[in-house]
Amino acid sequence: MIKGTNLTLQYGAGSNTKTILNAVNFTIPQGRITAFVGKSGAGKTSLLRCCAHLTTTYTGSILVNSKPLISLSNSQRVHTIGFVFQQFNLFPHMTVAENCVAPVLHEGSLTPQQAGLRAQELLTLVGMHEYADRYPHQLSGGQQQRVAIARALMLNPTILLFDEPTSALDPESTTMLATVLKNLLDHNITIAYASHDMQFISATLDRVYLMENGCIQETFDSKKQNRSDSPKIDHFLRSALSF
Amino acid sequence: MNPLISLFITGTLTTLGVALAGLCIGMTLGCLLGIAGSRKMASPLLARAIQVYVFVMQGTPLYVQLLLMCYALPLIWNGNISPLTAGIITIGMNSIAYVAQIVRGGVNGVPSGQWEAAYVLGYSQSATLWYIILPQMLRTTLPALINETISLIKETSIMGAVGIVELTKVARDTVSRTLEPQWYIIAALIYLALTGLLGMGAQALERKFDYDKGH
Repeated sequence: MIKGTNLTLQYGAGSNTKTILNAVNFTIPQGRITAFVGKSGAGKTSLLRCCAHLTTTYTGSILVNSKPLISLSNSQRVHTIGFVFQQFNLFPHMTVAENCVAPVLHEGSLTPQQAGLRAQELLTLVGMHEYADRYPHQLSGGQQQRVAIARALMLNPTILLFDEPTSALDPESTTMLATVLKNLLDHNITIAYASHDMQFISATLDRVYLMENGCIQETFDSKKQNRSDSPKIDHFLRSALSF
Repeated sequence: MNPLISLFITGTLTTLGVALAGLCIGMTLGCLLGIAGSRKMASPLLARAIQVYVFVMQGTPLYVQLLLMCYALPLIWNGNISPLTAGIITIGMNSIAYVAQIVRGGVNGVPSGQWEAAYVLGYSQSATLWYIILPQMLRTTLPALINETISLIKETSIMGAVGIVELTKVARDTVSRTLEPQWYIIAALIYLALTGLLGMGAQALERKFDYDKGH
């Protein structure tokens, strides 16, 4: 679980200060899919980057399983939090299989044989085992996305964060990704993502934070509320159906 | 063996030796400076110092640098330096500036997302550089580094000015003795053979690193 309290992120100084996140409080509970939704520039990506320790200049606190994020060692962090980038950021000089095994071999937690087997298992989970010998540039956006998920899972993180997971995907790949995310829940992976793709949000609807101008405007929990209890989120999601 | 042929072989070997030694200095320190001066690694002061070094080395002729190294600098430290050592150091120092520029551009050219991806996968900064950034940088900078190597071989031709008996000096001395300017053609052909062979090797190397093609 990740819990953020009074998370504030600002860039610039003096009169040029730009507030990206403004005293945001949020929780990413275990075993759920938490969506941070809102328009571009709302602060969704910045929030996830803070959670992954990619942005460290924030104030406030982020607790990961009740421990401060900043107190985690490099190894503890990567075994707890995985991150899938909007542009996937696969390593272009490595094959799909190498992309998956390289981080664990570098870390030394598995032997090459064990790493190979785990990569095969995870690539099968995301439906990419037949592409193990391909290079990233030989894959479509959706395929690269799934390889990036498999790579992120290689280190056995308990929480997986996705930045705009559908921005480079066609509708078919988006549907497949929604299925993959639901499968990950069955493997006890906690998921959070930032997105403004309303169809994807509807397909994976569980917990939602609606963000605007660096603040959380409204929250929705499908286990506790009806959508009508969160009128802004309901309106946001209804507009998906009109497409 | 014809003594002239023997002279030309010796001259060619000297050219290769000076070029190789200069290349070792240039590539090793140039890569280190280029990496140290890249956006992700450099402190402002170090980046500035590297900029000044590159400005000085690229802004002055190699010939002048050679004369300074051979005749002026020994006066400052009140010592001696052999022409061969001075030649190797000069060509190496000159090469450092060009290689550093190429490598710095190459490292800066790798998208920052690659650094971030490595970070979230647990790579340290040095491991990211070694396993993720440098292989990608090498692919884009290889043609420029090979050009630099070819230039370096050709630049050894000015070393004769301080008495190093390299290929061009052998040709010049031979023409002076025999009054047969065709020896310059022989020298040119030997340079062509050296750079041509290097070019062929470079093409094979480029193919090896080109993971975007041939799969």
